[in-house]
Amino acid sequence: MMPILTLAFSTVRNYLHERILLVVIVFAALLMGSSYALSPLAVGAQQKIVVDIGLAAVSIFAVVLIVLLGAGSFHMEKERGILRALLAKPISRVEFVLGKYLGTVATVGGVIVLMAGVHLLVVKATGSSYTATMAIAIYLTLLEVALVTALLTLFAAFSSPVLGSFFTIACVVAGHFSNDLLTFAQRFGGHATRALVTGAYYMLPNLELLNVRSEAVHNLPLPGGFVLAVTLYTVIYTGTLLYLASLIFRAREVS
Amino acid sequence: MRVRRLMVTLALGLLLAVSLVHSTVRVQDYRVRPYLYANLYLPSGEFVQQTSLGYRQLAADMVWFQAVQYYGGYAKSQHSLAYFNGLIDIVTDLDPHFVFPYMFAAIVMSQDMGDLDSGIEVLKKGMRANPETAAFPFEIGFLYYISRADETAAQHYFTLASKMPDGGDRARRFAAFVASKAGHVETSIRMWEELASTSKEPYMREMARRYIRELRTQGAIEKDPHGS
Repeated sequence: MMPILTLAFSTVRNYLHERILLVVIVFAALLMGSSYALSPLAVGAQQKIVVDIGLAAVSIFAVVLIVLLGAGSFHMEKERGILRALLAKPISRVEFVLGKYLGTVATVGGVIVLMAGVHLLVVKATGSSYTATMAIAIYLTLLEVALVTALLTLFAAFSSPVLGSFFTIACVVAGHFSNDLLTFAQRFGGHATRALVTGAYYMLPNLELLNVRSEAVHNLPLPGGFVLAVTLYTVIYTGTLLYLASLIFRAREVS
Repeated sequence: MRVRRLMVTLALGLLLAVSLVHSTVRVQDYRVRPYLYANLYLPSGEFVQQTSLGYRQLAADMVWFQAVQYYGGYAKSQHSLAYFNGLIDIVTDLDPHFVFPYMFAAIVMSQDMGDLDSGIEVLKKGMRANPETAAFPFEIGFLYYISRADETAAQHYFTLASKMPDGGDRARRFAAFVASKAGHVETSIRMWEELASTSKEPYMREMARRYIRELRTQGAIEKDPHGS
C-alpha cells in the first residue's frame, strides 16, 4: 500500500506545478461568479441559473482537467526516463498504475471540492440555500471523475496521449448517450443490430446515472437506494477498468 | 529615396486609417440583426436534448435567455412573436420542471398573441410534467376567465388548484372573484392587481400593471363608447 500512496503523493505534487491547473481553477471560479452577474437577466430563473452554471462548470472542468493532466502524465514519465527508473525499484506495475490513478483522482477531486466551495458561496450570495441534492450532485461528479480517470488510465496504458484523450472523450460522450443507445436498440434494427447495440449499452459507462443536476436544481427527490447503487456501480466499473489497465501495462515493454 | 519611402508609408497608413473608419461605420448597419432569422434555424428541443450531453439544464437556460431577449425585442416593437412558441417549446422540452417559462409563455400567448389555446396547451404540458404544482391549473383558470370570460372553466380549474397541496388561499379567492358576478373587466382588473401584488417576479408585476392599464382603458371605452 505504501508505494501506491507515495506514488500518488508524488503525482499530486507534480500536478500542482502545472500551470493549467491554476488556469482551470481561475476560469471555473470566474464562470461561477459571472453566473451571479448574469442572473438578473434571466427573468424568473435567477437562482436556477446560478445553480445550473455552477454544477455544470464543476462537471465540465473536472473532465477537462482529467484529460489535460492525466493524458500527458504517463507519457511524460516515460519521456523523462522516470518510468524506467521507477520500475527498476521494488514497485510493481500494478502499484504504479494505481498510484498514478489515485494521484490524478486526488488532484481533480481536490479541485472539485474547491469549485464546490466557490459554488456554495455564489449560491448563498443569491439568498438560496445549498440543498442536500446539490451536495449529492457534487458527490456524483466525484464518482464521475473516478470513472473517467480510470478510463484514461486504461487508454494511457496502451496508446499515445493524443489517442488516450480522444478515446476518453469519445467514451464520455458515448456514456452520456448510452440511454439513447438502449432506446435505439429497442425500437430499430434487426436481431443482430439490437443485440450489438444492447451489448454496447451495457459495456459503456452509463454516465447519465451520475447526472442528478436536474434534481439538484429543482430539489426533486431521488429514488431510495439510488446513491448507494450508483456508488457500487461506479466502484465496480472503475475497478474493472483499473484491473484491465494493470494487465495491459504489465504486458508492455518499457523502453 | 528615403523621403519617397516615407511618403509611401504615410500614404499607405492614411489609406488604411480611412478604410478602417469607413468600414467600421459601414458595418454598424448590420449590428442589430433581427432575431427572426437567428431563431428560424433553432433545432427542436429533442435534438438539443440529445446533443447537450447531460447539460440539458444549461442548454435550457441559454434558450431561456434568448426567449426573454426575443420577447424584449417584441416589447420594443422590433419584431413579431413568430418564433416565441418554438423557443418556449425547446426550453420546456429541455427542462420540464422549469415552471416559470410555462407561466410566462401562457400569458404572452394569450394576451399578446391572442392565442389562448396555445397558452392553455403550454400550461397543460407543464401540468403533465409537474402534476403536483397548483400554479398550472390556477393559471389555466385565470386565463380562461381573463381571455375568454369562461366562468365555468375558470371555476373548474381554480377549484382544482385549491385542492392541491400548494394551492393555498389564492385559488379560492380567485374562484370567489368569478362567483361574485361583478363585471368581467372589473373582475379581471382585480385578478391582475392581486397577481401584481403577490408575484415575486418584477417582470411579471410589470406585465400585470401593463394589462391593468389596458383593461382600464377598455373599461372606460365600454362605459362611454362615444367619449362624451
